[in-house]
Amino acid sequence: VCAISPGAAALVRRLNLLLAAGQISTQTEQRLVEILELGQPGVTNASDDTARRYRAIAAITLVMSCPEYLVQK
Amino acid sequence: MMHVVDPVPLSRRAFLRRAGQLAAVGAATPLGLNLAAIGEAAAFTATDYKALVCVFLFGGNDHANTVVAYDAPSWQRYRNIRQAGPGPAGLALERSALAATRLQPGTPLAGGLEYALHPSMPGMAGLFGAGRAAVLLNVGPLIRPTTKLEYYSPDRERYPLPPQLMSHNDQQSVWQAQGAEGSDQGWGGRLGDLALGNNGDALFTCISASGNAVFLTGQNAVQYQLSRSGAVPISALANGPHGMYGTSNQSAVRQRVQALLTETRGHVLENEYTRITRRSIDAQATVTAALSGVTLNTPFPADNPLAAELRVVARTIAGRQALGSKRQVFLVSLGGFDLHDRLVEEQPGLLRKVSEAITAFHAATVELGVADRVTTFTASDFGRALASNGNGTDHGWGGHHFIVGGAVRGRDFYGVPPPLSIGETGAPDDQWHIGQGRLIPSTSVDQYAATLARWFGAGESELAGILPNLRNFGAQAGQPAYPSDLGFMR
Repeated sequence: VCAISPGAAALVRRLNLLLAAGQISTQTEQRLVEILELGQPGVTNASDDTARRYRAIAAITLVMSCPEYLVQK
Repeated sequence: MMHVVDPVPLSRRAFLRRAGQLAAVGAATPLGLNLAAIGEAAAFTATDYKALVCVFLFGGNDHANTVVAYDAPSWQRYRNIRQAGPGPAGLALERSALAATRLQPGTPLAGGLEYALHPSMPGMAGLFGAGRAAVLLNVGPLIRPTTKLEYYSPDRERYPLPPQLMSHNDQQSVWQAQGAEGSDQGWGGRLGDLALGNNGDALFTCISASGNAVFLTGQNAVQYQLSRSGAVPISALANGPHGMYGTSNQSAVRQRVQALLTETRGHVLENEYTRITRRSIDAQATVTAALSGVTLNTPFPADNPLAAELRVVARTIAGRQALGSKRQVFLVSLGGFDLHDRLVEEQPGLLRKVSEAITAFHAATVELGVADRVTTFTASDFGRALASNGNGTDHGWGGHHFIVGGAVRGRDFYGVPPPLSIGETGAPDDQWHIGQGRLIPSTSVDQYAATLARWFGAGESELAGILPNLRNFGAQAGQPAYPSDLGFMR
Protein backbone atom coordinates (compact mmCIF):
# COMPACT_ATOMS: atom_id res chain seq x y z
CA VAL A 1 0.00 0.00 0.00
CA CYS A 2 2.89 2.35 0.80
CA ALA A 3 4.27 1.81 -2.66
CA ILE A 4 1.05 2.51 -4.56
CA SER A 5 0.21 5.73 -2.81
CA PRO A 6 1.16 8.66 -5.00
CA GLY A 7 -1.02 10.91 -2.84
CA ALA A 8 -3.43 10.80 0.05
CA ALA A 9 -6.46 10.77 -2.26
CA ALA A 10 -5.25 7.74 -4.24
CA LEU A 11 -4.29 5.98 -1.00
CA VAL A 12 -7.76 6.46 0.51
CA ARG A 13 -9.45 5.40 -2.74
CA ARG A 14 -7.34 2.23 -2.85
CA LEU A 15 -8.14 1.38 0.81
CA ASN A 16 -11.82 2.04 0.16
CA LEU A 17 -11.66 -0.68 -2.51
CA LEU A 18 -9.55 -3.13 -0.48
CA LEU A 19 -11.21 -2.73 2.92
CA ALA A 20 -14.70 -1.43 2.26
CA ALA A 21 -15.51 -2.80 -1.19
CA GLY A 22 -15.90 0.78 -2.39
CA GLN A 23 -18.78 1.51 0.01
CA ILE A 24 -17.26 4.64 1.48
CA SER A 25 -18.84 7.67 -0.13
CA THR A 26 -16.84 10.18 -2.15
CA GLN A 27 -17.73 12.82 0.41
CA THR A 28 -16.27 10.76 3.27
CA GLU A 29 -13.21 9.94 1.17
CA GLN A 30 -12.57 13.66 0.80
CA ARG A 31 -12.87 14.15 4.56
CA LEU A 32 -10.36 11.38 5.23
CA VAL A 33 -7.94 12.92 2.76
CA GLU A 34 -8.35 16.25 4.49
CA ILE A 35 -7.52 14.71 7.89
CA LEU A 36 -4.43 13.00 6.46
CA GLU A 37 -3.18 16.21 4.85
CA LEU A 38 -3.79 18.19 8.02
CA GLY A 39 -2.07 15.71 10.33
CA GLN A 40 0.82 14.81 8.01
CA PRO A 41 1.31 17.73 5.63
CA GLY A 42 3.92 17.49 2.90
CA VAL A 43 3.96 13.70 2.59
CA THR A 44 4.22 12.72 -1.06
CA ASN A 45 5.20 9.61 -2.96
CA ALA A 46 8.74 11.00 -2.89
CA SER A 47 8.84 11.03 0.91
CA ASP A 48 10.85 8.36 2.72
CA ASP A 49 9.43 4.96 3.64
CA THR A 50 8.81 5.90 7.26
CA ALA A 51 6.70 8.93 6.39
CA ARG A 52 4.71 7.01 3.80
CA ARG A 53 4.23 4.10 6.20
CA TYR A 54 2.87 6.43 8.91
CA ARG A 55 0.49 7.95 6.40
CA ALA A 56 -0.69 4.47 5.34
CA ILE A 57 -1.23 3.45 9.01
CA ALA A 58 -3.24 6.61 9.66
CA ALA A 59 -5.28 6.04 6.49
CA ILE A 60 -6.06 2.41 7.38
CA THR A 61 -7.08 3.41 10.94
CA LEU A 62 -9.32 6.17 9.59
CA VAL A 63 -11.02 3.94 7.03
CA MET A 64 -11.59 1.27 9.66
CA SER A 65 -13.16 3.70 12.12
CA CYS A 66 -15.64 5.09 9.57
CA PRO A 67 -19.29 4.11 10.16
CA GLU A 68 -19.50 3.38 6.42
CA TYR A 69 -16.75 0.77 6.78
CA LEU A 70 -18.01 -0.66 10.09
CA VAL A 71 -21.53 -1.36 8.88
CA GLN A 72 -21.39 -3.91 6.11
CA LYS A 73 -24.13 -3.48 3.52
CA MET B 1 -43.30 -28.70 31.61
CA MET B 2 -43.60 -27.05 35.01
CA HIS B 3 -39.87 -26.44 35.34
CA VAL B 4 -39.16 -25.04 31.93
CA VAL B 5 -37.76 -21.57 32.36
CA ASP B 6 -39.65 -18.71 30.82
CA PRO B 7 -37.01 -15.98 30.66
CA VAL B 8 -39.42 -13.10 30.31
CA PRO B 9 -42.34 -13.45 32.67
CA LEU B 10 -44.53 -10.45 33.33
CA SER B 11 -41.98 -7.95 34.49
CA ARG B 12 -42.82 -4.53 35.83
CA ARG B 13 -41.40 -3.14 32.63
CA ALA B 14 -43.61 -5.32 30.44
CA PHE B 15 -46.49 -4.48 32.72
CA LEU B 16 -45.97 -0.74 32.41
CA ARG B 17 -45.54 -1.09 28.67
CA ARG B 18 -48.90 -2.84 28.48
CA ALA B 19 -50.53 -0.29 30.75
CA GLY B 20 -49.11 2.41 28.49
CA GLN B 21 -50.51 0.72 25.43
CA LEU B 22 -53.91 0.60 27.10
CA ALA B 23 -53.73 4.32 27.74
CA ALA B 24 -52.69 4.99 24.16
CA VAL B 25 -55.83 3.39 22.75
CA GLY B 26 -57.95 5.59 24.98
CA ALA B 27 -58.97 3.06 27.62
CA ALA B 28 -58.72 4.30 31.19
CA THR B 29 -55.93 2.46 32.97
CA PRO B 30 -57.48 0.63 35.92
CA LEU B 31 -56.44 2.31 39.14
CA GLY B 32 -55.50 -1.04 40.64
CA LEU B 33 -52.90 -1.59 37.94
CA ASN B 34 -51.31 1.77 38.64
CA LEU B 35 -51.18 1.25 42.38
CA ALA B 36 -49.55 -2.14 41.94
CA ALA B 37 -46.93 -0.68 39.64
CA ILE B 38 -46.21 2.20 41.99
CA GLY B 39 -45.91 -0.11 44.97
CA GLU B 40 -43.45 -2.29 43.14
CA ALA B 41 -41.39 0.65 42.04
CA ALA B 42 -41.46 2.36 45.45
CA ALA B 43 -38.16 0.94 46.59
CA PHE B 44 -36.45 2.43 43.59
CA THR B 45 -37.87 5.90 44.03
CA ALA B 46 -36.25 6.12 47.43
CA THR B 47 -33.63 8.81 47.82
CA ASP B 48 -31.07 6.60 49.49
CA TYR B 49 -28.10 5.00 47.77
CA LYS B 50 -27.34 1.28 47.48
CA ALA B 51 -24.75 -0.67 45.54
CA LEU B 52 -24.06 -4.35 44.95
CA VAL B 53 -20.50 -5.35 44.12
CA CYS B 54 -19.90 -8.79 42.62
CA VAL B 55 -16.35 -10.11 43.07
CA PHE B 56 -16.00 -12.92 40.53
CA LEU B 57 -13.20 -15.41 41.11
CA PHE B 58 -12.53 -16.75 37.62
CA GLY B 59 -11.44 -20.35 37.23
CA GLY B 60 -13.43 -21.95 40.06
CA ASN B 61 -12.10 -21.33 43.57
CA ASP B 62 -11.15 -24.33 45.72
CA HIS B 63 -13.65 -23.64 48.50
CA ALA B 64 -12.47 -26.42 50.83
CA ASN B 65 -9.10 -24.72 51.34
CA THR B 66 -10.75 -21.29 51.60
CA VAL B 67 -13.33 -22.00 54.30
CA VAL B 68 -11.61 -24.92 55.99
CA ALA B 69 -12.96 -27.57 58.35
CA TYR B 70 -11.49 -26.75 61.75
CA ASP B 71 -13.03 -28.74 64.62
CA ALA B 72 -10.75 -31.70 65.31
CA PRO B 73 -12.89 -34.54 63.88
CA SER B 74 -13.81 -32.58 60.73
CA TRP B 75 -10.25 -31.41 60.17
CA GLN B 76 -9.04 -35.02 60.48
CA ARG B 77 -11.53 -36.15 57.83
CA TYR B 78 -10.48 -33.27 55.58
CA ARG B 79 -6.82 -34.09 56.10
CA ASN B 80 -7.35 -37.79 55.38
CA ILE B 81 -9.14 -36.96 52.13
CA ARG B 82 -6.63 -34.33 50.97
CA GLN B 83 -3.42 -36.06 52.04
CA ALA B 84 -2.12 -36.59 48.51
CA GLY B 85 -0.09 -33.63 47.34
CA PRO B 86 3.08 -31.64 47.82
CA GLY B 87 2.40 -29.98 51.20
CA PRO B 88 3.34 -31.53 54.55
CA ALA B 89 -0.28 -32.73 54.86
CA GLY B 90 -0.76 -33.17 51.11
CA LEU B 91 -3.19 -30.51 49.88
CA ALA B 92 -4.55 -30.11 53.41
CA LEU B 93 -3.67 -27.10 55.55
CA GLU B 94 -2.17 -27.85 58.96
CA ARG B 95 -4.68 -27.35 61.73
CA SER B 96 -2.21 -25.28 63.77
CA ALA B 97 -1.86 -22.87 60.83
CA LEU B 98 -5.59 -22.21 60.91
CA ALA B 99 -5.90 -21.10 64.54
CA ALA B 100 -5.39 -17.40 63.80
CA THR B 101 -8.15 -17.32 61.19
CA ARG B 102 -10.62 -19.51 63.07
CA LEU B 103 -14.18 -18.22 62.65
CA GLN B 104 -16.25 -17.86 65.81
CA PRO B 105 -19.84 -17.22 64.77
CA GLY B 106 -22.50 -15.60 66.92
CA THR B 107 -24.58 -18.74 66.46
CA PRO B 108 -22.37 -21.84 66.80
CA LEU B 109 -22.97 -24.50 64.16
CA ALA B 110 -24.75 -27.69 65.20
CA GLY B 111 -22.69 -30.72 66.11
CA GLY B 112 -19.66 -28.69 67.18
CA LEU B 113 -18.70 -27.96 63.57
CA GLU B 114 -16.14 -25.21 63.16
CA TYR B 115 -14.46 -23.53 60.23
CA ALA B 116 -11.37 -21.39 59.76
CA LEU B 117 -10.37 -19.29 56.78
CA HIS B 118 -7.21 -19.96 54.79
CA PRO B 119 -4.25 -18.57 56.79
CA SER B 120 -3.68 -15.96 54.07
CA MET B 121 -7.09 -14.36 54.78
CA PRO B 122 -6.69 -12.64 58.17
CA GLY B 123 -8.44 -9.52 56.84
CA MET B 124 -11.55 -11.44 55.87
CA ALA B 125 -11.48 -13.32 59.19
CA GLY B 126 -11.33 -9.93 60.92
CA LEU B 127 -14.37 -8.70 58.98
CA PHE B 128 -16.21 -11.89 59.98
CA GLY B 129 -15.30 -11.39 63.64
CA ALA B 130 -16.42 -7.76 63.49
CA GLY B 131 -19.81 -8.80 62.15
CA ARG B 132 -19.14 -7.29 58.72
CA ALA B 133 -18.81 -10.56 56.78
CA ALA B 134 -20.88 -13.72 56.53
CA VAL B 135 -20.08 -17.07 54.92
CA LEU B 136 -22.59 -18.85 52.70
CA LEU B 137 -21.85 -22.57 52.62
CA ASN B 138 -22.24 -24.79 49.54
CA VAL B 139 -23.99 -22.46 47.10
CA GLY B 140 -24.15 -23.09 43.37
CA PRO B 141 -26.43 -23.13 40.35
CA LEU B 142 -29.61 -25.20 40.57
CA ILE B 143 -32.82 -25.14 38.55
CA ARG B 144 -34.67 -26.73 41.46
CA PRO B 145 -33.65 -28.47 44.70
CA THR B 146 -31.72 -31.54 43.58
CA THR B 147 -30.73 -34.72 45.42
CA LYS B 148 -28.06 -37.19 44.36
CA LEU B 149 -30.74 -39.65 43.20
CA GLU B 150 -32.35 -36.92 41.14
CA TYR B 151 -28.98 -35.91 39.72
CA TYR B 152 -28.47 -39.45 38.41
CA SER B 153 -32.07 -39.81 37.21
CA PRO B 154 -32.44 -40.01 33.42
CA ASP B 155 -35.62 -37.95 33.71
CA ARG B 156 -34.24 -34.46 32.94
CA GLU B 157 -37.72 -33.14 32.30
CA ARG B 158 -38.67 -33.75 35.89
CA TYR B 159 -35.22 -33.15 37.38
CA PRO B 160 -33.64 -30.44 35.25
CA LEU B 161 -30.01 -29.47 35.85
CA PRO B 162 -28.15 -26.29 34.96
CA PRO B 163 -26.61 -26.69 31.50
CA GLN B 164 -22.99 -27.83 31.07
CA LEU B 165 -22.08 -28.36 34.71
CA MET B 166 -18.35 -28.12 35.44
CA SER B 167 -17.57 -26.23 32.22
CA HIS B 168 -15.84 -22.92 32.97
CA ASN B 169 -17.43 -20.64 30.38
CA ASP B 170 -20.89 -22.07 30.87
CA GLN B 171 -20.86 -22.03 34.66
CA GLN B 172 -19.56 -18.45 34.68
CA SER B 173 -22.58 -17.63 32.54
CA VAL B 174 -24.97 -19.72 34.66
CA TRP B 175 -23.83 -17.91 37.82
CA GLN B 176 -24.24 -14.53 36.16
CA ALA B 177 -27.20 -15.15 33.89
CA GLN B 178 -28.86 -18.49 34.76
CA GLY B 179 -28.05 -19.83 31.28
CA ALA B 180 -25.14 -21.39 29.38
CA GLU B 181 -22.56 -19.37 27.47
CA GLY B 182 -24.37 -17.18 24.96
CA SER B 183 -26.98 -15.92 27.43
CA ASP B 184 -27.53 -12.24 26.79
CA GLN B 185 -28.93 -10.94 30.09
CA GLY B 186 -27.57 -11.30 33.63
CA TRP B 187 -29.32 -10.80 36.93
CA GLY B 188 -27.16 -7.80 37.78
CA GLY B 189 -28.33 -6.15 34.56
CA ARG B 190 -31.95 -7.08 35.19
CA LEU B 191 -31.68 -5.52 38.64
CA GLY B 192 -30.21 -2.49 36.90
CA ASP B 193 -33.24 -2.37 34.58
CA LEU B 194 -35.40 -1.64 37.63
CA ALA B 195 -33.18 1.23 38.70
CA LEU B 196 -32.61 2.91 35.34
CA GLY B 197 -35.44 5.41 35.68
CA ASN B 198 -34.33 6.55 39.13
CA ASN B 199 -30.73 7.19 38.28
CA GLY B 200 -29.95 10.63 36.88
CA ASP B 201 -27.88 9.06 34.15
CA ALA B 202 -29.04 5.52 33.33
CA LEU B 203 -25.67 4.66 31.82
CA PHE B 204 -24.01 4.64 35.24
CA THR B 205 -26.27 1.94 36.69
CA CYS B 206 -24.33 -1.21 35.74
CA ILE B 207 -20.58 -0.72 35.85
CA SER B 208 -17.84 -3.23 35.14
CA ALA B 209 -14.25 -2.61 36.15
CA SER B 210 -13.42 -6.00 34.71
CA GLY B 211 -14.30 -5.95 31.02
CA ASN B 212 -17.41 -7.31 29.39
CA ALA B 213 -19.56 -9.64 31.50
CA VAL B 214 -23.09 -10.89 30.87
CA PHE B 215 -23.89 -10.33 34.58
CA LEU B 216 -24.37 -6.60 33.97
CA THR B 217 -26.45 -6.63 30.81
CA GLY B 218 -30.19 -6.22 31.29
CA GLN B 219 -33.09 -5.91 28.92
CA ASN B 220 -32.46 -2.17 28.74
CA ALA B 221 -29.50 -1.69 31.04
CA VAL B 222 -26.15 -1.65 29.28
CA GLN B 223 -22.92 -2.06 31.16
CA TYR B 224 -20.54 0.81 31.40
CA GLN B 225 -16.92 -0.29 31.51
CA LEU B 226 -14.29 1.46 33.58
CA SER B 227 -10.57 0.90 33.56
CA ARG B 228 -8.69 0.79 36.84
CA SER B 229 -7.81 4.44 36.43
CA GLY B 230 -11.31 5.60 35.56
CA ALA B 231 -13.26 6.24 32.37
CA VAL B 232 -11.82 4.83 29.14
CA PRO B 233 -11.07 7.57 26.63
CA ILE B 234 -10.96 7.18 22.86
CA SER B 235 -7.22 7.64 22.60
CA ALA B 236 -7.43 9.05 19.08
CA LEU B 237 -9.42 11.93 20.54
CA ALA B 238 -7.46 12.41 23.73
CA ASN B 239 -5.13 15.32 24.27
CA GLY B 240 -1.47 14.58 24.06
CA PRO B 241 1.12 13.62 21.50
CA HIS B 242 -0.44 10.37 20.32
CA GLY B 243 0.24 11.27 16.74
CA MET B 244 -2.06 8.56 15.46
CA TYR B 245 -3.08 10.78 12.55
CA GLY B 246 0.10 12.79 12.49
CA THR B 247 1.52 15.48 14.71
CA SER B 248 0.48 18.66 12.89
CA ASN B 249 -2.74 20.64 13.37
CA GLN B 250 -3.81 18.35 16.22
CA SER B 251 -6.88 20.22 17.31
CA ALA B 252 -8.24 20.51 13.75
CA VAL B 253 -7.54 16.81 13.17
CA ARG B 254 -9.20 15.83 16.44
CA GLN B 255 -12.25 17.91 15.63
CA ARG B 256 -12.63 16.27 12.21
CA VAL B 257 -12.10 12.73 13.51
CA GLN B 258 -14.61 13.32 16.28
CA ALA B 259 -17.16 14.58 13.71
CA LEU B 260 -16.58 11.45 11.63
CA LEU B 261 -17.19 9.17 14.63
CA THR B 262 -20.12 10.99 16.20
CA GLU B 263 -22.18 12.72 13.49
CA THR B 264 -25.83 11.82 12.83
CA ARG B 265 -26.07 9.36 9.95
CA GLY B 266 -28.91 8.54 7.58
CA HIS B 267 -28.30 4.79 7.75
CA VAL B 268 -29.93 3.30 10.87
CA LEU B 269 -27.04 1.05 11.91
CA GLU B 270 -24.40 3.66 11.16
CA ASN B 271 -26.42 6.12 13.20
CA GLU B 272 -26.56 3.68 16.13
CA TYR B 273 -22.80 3.31 15.99
CA THR B 274 -22.19 7.05 16.06
CA ARG B 275 -24.82 7.52 18.77
CA ILE B 276 -23.03 5.01 21.03
CA THR B 277 -19.67 6.63 20.32
CA ARG B 278 -21.17 9.99 21.23
CA ARG B 279 -22.57 8.52 24.46
CA SER B 280 -19.20 7.04 25.30
CA ILE B 281 -17.40 10.35 24.78
CA ASP B 282 -19.96 12.20 26.92
CA ALA B 283 -19.80 9.52 29.62
CA GLN B 284 -16.04 9.67 29.73
CA ALA B 285 -16.21 13.42 30.33
CA THR B 286 -18.88 12.99 33.03
CA VAL B 287 -17.04 10.19 34.85
CA THR B 288 -13.69 11.93 34.64
CA ALA B 289 -15.24 15.08 36.11
CA ALA B 290 -17.09 13.14 38.83
CA LEU B 291 -13.98 11.20 39.86
CA SER B 292 -11.67 14.20 39.76
CA GLY B 293 -13.42 15.72 42.77
CA VAL B 294 -13.16 12.55 44.84
CA THR B 295 -11.02 12.27 47.95
CA LEU B 296 -10.31 8.72 49.04
CA ASN B 297 -7.58 8.21 51.63
CA THR B 298 -8.00 4.51 52.39
CA PRO B 299 -4.84 2.71 51.23
CA PHE B 300 -5.33 -0.13 48.76
CA PRO B 301 -2.67 -2.84 48.43
CA ALA B 302 -0.29 -2.53 45.47
CA ASP B 303 0.36 -5.35 42.98
CA ASN B 304 -3.21 -6.51 43.43
CA PRO B 305 -5.41 -6.17 40.32
CA LEU B 306 -8.57 -6.88 42.29
CA ALA B 307 -7.71 -4.08 44.71
CA ALA B 308 -7.12 -1.73 41.77
CA GLU B 309 -10.56 -2.58 40.37
CA LEU B 310 -12.24 -2.18 43.75
CA ARG B 311 -10.50 1.13 44.21
CA VAL B 312 -12.04 2.57 41.05
CA VAL B 313 -15.40 1.21 42.20
CA ALA B 314 -14.96 3.00 45.54
CA ARG B 315 -14.04 6.22 43.71
CA THR B 316 -17.10 5.84 41.47
CA ILE B 317 -19.31 5.36 44.53
CA ALA B 318 -17.71 8.46 46.02
CA GLY B 319 -18.75 10.35 42.87
CA ARG B 320 -22.32 9.01 42.98
CA GLN B 321 -23.92 12.42 43.42
CA ALA B 322 -22.14 13.90 40.43
CA LEU B 323 -23.16 10.82 38.43
CA GLY B 324 -26.75 11.04 39.68
CA SER B 325 -26.72 7.41 40.83
CA LYS B 326 -29.09 5.94 43.44
CA ARG B 327 -28.65 2.26 42.65
CA GLN B 328 -25.57 0.70 41.12
CA VAL B 329 -24.38 -2.81 40.36
CA PHE B 330 -20.64 -3.36 39.91
CA LEU B 331 -18.52 -6.26 38.72
CA VAL B 332 -14.86 -6.80 39.53
CA SER B 333 -12.83 -9.98 39.20
CA LEU B 334 -9.65 -11.89 39.82
CA GLY B 335 -8.49 -14.81 37.67
CA GLY B 336 -6.18 -17.77 38.12
CA PHE B 337 -8.25 -20.01 40.40
CA ASP B 338 -8.33 -23.04 38.07
CA LEU B 339 -5.74 -24.88 40.13
CA HIS B 340 -5.69 -28.46 38.88
CA ASP B 341 -1.98 -28.11 39.60
CA ARG B 342 0.03 -26.14 42.12
CA LEU B 343 -2.93 -25.52 44.42
CA VAL B 344 -0.72 -25.36 47.50
CA GLU B 345 1.69 -22.94 45.80
CA GLU B 346 -0.76 -20.65 43.98
CA GLN B 347 -3.96 -20.41 45.99
CA PRO B 348 -2.51 -18.63 49.05
CA GLY B 349 -1.42 -15.62 47.00
CA LEU B 350 -4.79 -15.40 45.26
CA LEU B 351 -6.75 -15.63 48.50
CA ARG B 352 -4.46 -13.05 50.06
CA LYS B 353 -5.32 -10.69 47.19
CA VAL B 354 -9.04 -11.35 47.68
CA SER B 355 -8.87 -10.82 51.42
CA GLU B 356 -6.71 -7.69 51.27
CA ALA B 357 -8.69 -6.12 48.40
CA ILE B 358 -12.08 -6.69 50.00
CA THR B 359 -10.81 -5.54 53.40
CA ALA B 360 -9.47 -2.31 51.87
CA PHE B 361 -12.68 -1.80 49.90
CA HIS B 362 -14.81 -2.21 53.01
CA ALA B 363 -12.59 0.29 54.82
CA ALA B 364 -13.08 2.69 51.90
CA THR B 365 -16.87 2.41 52.18
CA VAL B 366 -16.52 3.20 55.89
CA GLU B 367 -14.43 6.26 55.03
CA LEU B 368 -17.08 7.36 52.51
CA GLY B 369 -19.87 6.83 55.04
CA VAL B 370 -21.63 4.21 52.89
CA ALA B 371 -20.56 0.95 54.58
CA ASP B 372 -24.18 -0.06 55.16
CA ARG B 373 -25.13 1.03 51.61
CA VAL B 374 -22.64 -1.18 49.79
CA THR B 375 -22.77 -4.96 49.81
CA THR B 376 -19.92 -6.99 48.32
CA PHE B 377 -20.33 -10.66 47.51
CA THR B 378 -18.16 -13.33 45.92
CA ALA B 379 -19.00 -15.70 43.07
CA SER B 380 -16.99 -18.21 41.07
CA ASP B 381 -17.42 -20.65 38.18
CA PHE B 382 -17.86 -23.54 40.62
CA GLY B 383 -16.40 -25.09 43.77
CA ARG B 384 -13.91 -27.89 43.33
CA ALA B 385 -13.67 -31.55 44.20
CA LEU B 386 -12.74 -32.39 47.77
CA ALA B 387 -10.44 -35.18 46.63
CA SER B 388 -6.86 -34.34 45.68
CA ASN B 389 -5.67 -35.14 42.18
CA GLY B 390 -2.14 -35.28 43.62
CA ASN B 391 -1.23 -31.66 42.91
CA GLY B 392 -4.52 -29.77 42.96
CA THR B 393 -8.24 -30.28 42.63
CA ASP B 394 -10.62 -30.73 39.72
CA HIS B 395 -13.84 -28.95 38.76
CA GLY B 396 -16.81 -29.27 41.09
CA TRP B 397 -20.19 -27.63 41.57
CA GLY B 398 -21.21 -26.05 44.91
CA GLY B 399 -18.74 -23.93 46.91
CA HIS B 400 -18.50 -21.47 49.80
CA HIS B 401 -18.82 -17.70 49.38
CA PHE B 402 -18.55 -14.42 51.28
CA ILE B 403 -20.94 -11.52 51.72
CA VAL B 404 -19.38 -8.33 53.14
CA GLY B 405 -20.79 -4.96 54.21
CA GLY B 406 -22.39 -2.98 56.98
CA ALA B 407 -25.86 -4.23 56.04
CA VAL B 408 -24.79 -7.88 56.24
CA ARG B 409 -25.77 -9.92 59.28
CA GLY B 410 -22.17 -10.96 59.70
CA ARG B 411 -20.27 -13.23 62.07
CA ASP B 412 -22.53 -16.09 61.03
CA PHE B 413 -22.77 -18.98 58.62
CA TYR B 414 -25.65 -19.38 56.20
CA GLY B 415 -26.61 -22.40 54.16
CA VAL B 416 -25.86 -25.98 55.16
CA PRO B 417 -22.41 -27.31 56.16
CA PRO B 418 -21.65 -30.09 53.66
CA PRO B 419 -20.35 -33.44 54.93
CA LEU B 420 -16.65 -34.07 54.32
CA SER B 421 -16.82 -37.21 52.26
CA ILE B 422 -15.74 -38.69 48.96
CA GLY B 423 -17.30 -42.11 49.57
CA GLU B 424 -19.68 -43.76 47.12
CA THR B 425 -21.81 -45.73 49.58
CA GLY B 426 -25.43 -45.39 50.63
CA ALA B 427 -24.36 -43.64 53.86
CA PRO B 428 -26.05 -40.27 54.46
CA ASP B 429 -22.72 -38.40 54.27
CA ASP B 430 -22.18 -39.70 50.75
CA GLN B 431 -25.44 -38.27 49.42
CA TRP B 432 -24.17 -34.68 49.08
CA HIS B 433 -21.64 -35.14 46.34
CA ILE B 434 -21.50 -36.53 42.82
CA GLY B 435 -18.08 -38.17 43.06
CA GLN B 436 -14.72 -37.02 44.44
CA GLY B 437 -16.59 -34.77 46.86
CA ARG B 438 -18.03 -32.49 44.16
CA LEU B 439 -20.84 -30.85 46.13
CA ILE B 440 -24.44 -30.78 45.04
CA PRO B 441 -25.36 -27.22 46.09
CA SER B 442 -27.66 -27.07 49.11
CA THR B 443 -28.37 -23.41 48.30
CA SER B 444 -28.98 -22.11 44.79
CA VAL B 445 -27.51 -19.02 43.16
CA ASP B 446 -31.11 -17.84 42.75
CA GLN B 447 -31.67 -17.89 46.53
CA TYR B 448 -28.34 -16.09 47.01
CA ALA B 449 -29.23 -13.47 44.38
CA ALA B 450 -32.80 -13.03 45.65
CA THR B 451 -31.54 -12.24 49.16
CA LEU B 452 -29.23 -9.57 47.73
CA ALA B 453 -31.87 -8.24 45.32
CA ARG B 454 -34.46 -7.76 48.08
CA TRP B 455 -32.01 -5.64 50.03
CA PHE B 456 -31.26 -3.71 46.83
CA GLY B 457 -34.94 -2.89 46.60
CA ALA B 458 -36.50 -5.37 44.18
CA GLY B 459 -40.12 -6.29 44.92
CA GLU B 460 -41.32 -9.88 45.12
CA SER B 461 -42.98 -9.83 41.70
CA GLU B 462 -39.91 -8.23 40.16
CA LEU B 463 -37.72 -11.02 41.54
CA ALA B 464 -39.58 -13.51 39.35
CA GLY B 465 -38.47 -11.59 36.28
CA ILE B 466 -34.90 -11.24 37.48
CA LEU B 467 -34.48 -14.82 38.72
CA PRO B 468 -36.75 -17.14 36.75
CA ASN B 469 -35.81 -20.26 38.76
CA LEU B 470 -36.68 -18.67 42.09
CA ARG B 471 -40.23 -20.00 41.80
CA ASN B 472 -38.87 -23.52 42.43
CA PHE B 473 -37.45 -22.57 45.85
CA GLY B 474 -38.86 -21.52 49.19
CA ALA B 475 -41.83 -22.41 51.34
CA GLN B 476 -44.33 -21.42 48.65
CA ALA B 477 -42.74 -23.98 46.30
CA GLY B 478 -43.00 -26.60 49.07
CA GLN B 479 -39.23 -26.37 49.66
CA PRO B 480 -38.77 -24.82 53.11
CA ALA B 481 -35.22 -26.22 53.30
CA TYR B 482 -34.36 -23.91 50.38
CA PRO B 483 -35.62 -20.51 51.65
CA SER B 484 -36.02 -17.79 49.05
CA ASP B 485 -34.53 -15.34 51.56
CA LEU B 486 -31.39 -16.66 53.24
CA GLY B 487 -31.52 -14.00 55.94
CA PHE B 488 -27.97 -12.70 55.67
CA MET B 489 -29.05 -9.11 54.89
CA ARG B 490 -30.48 -6.66 57.40
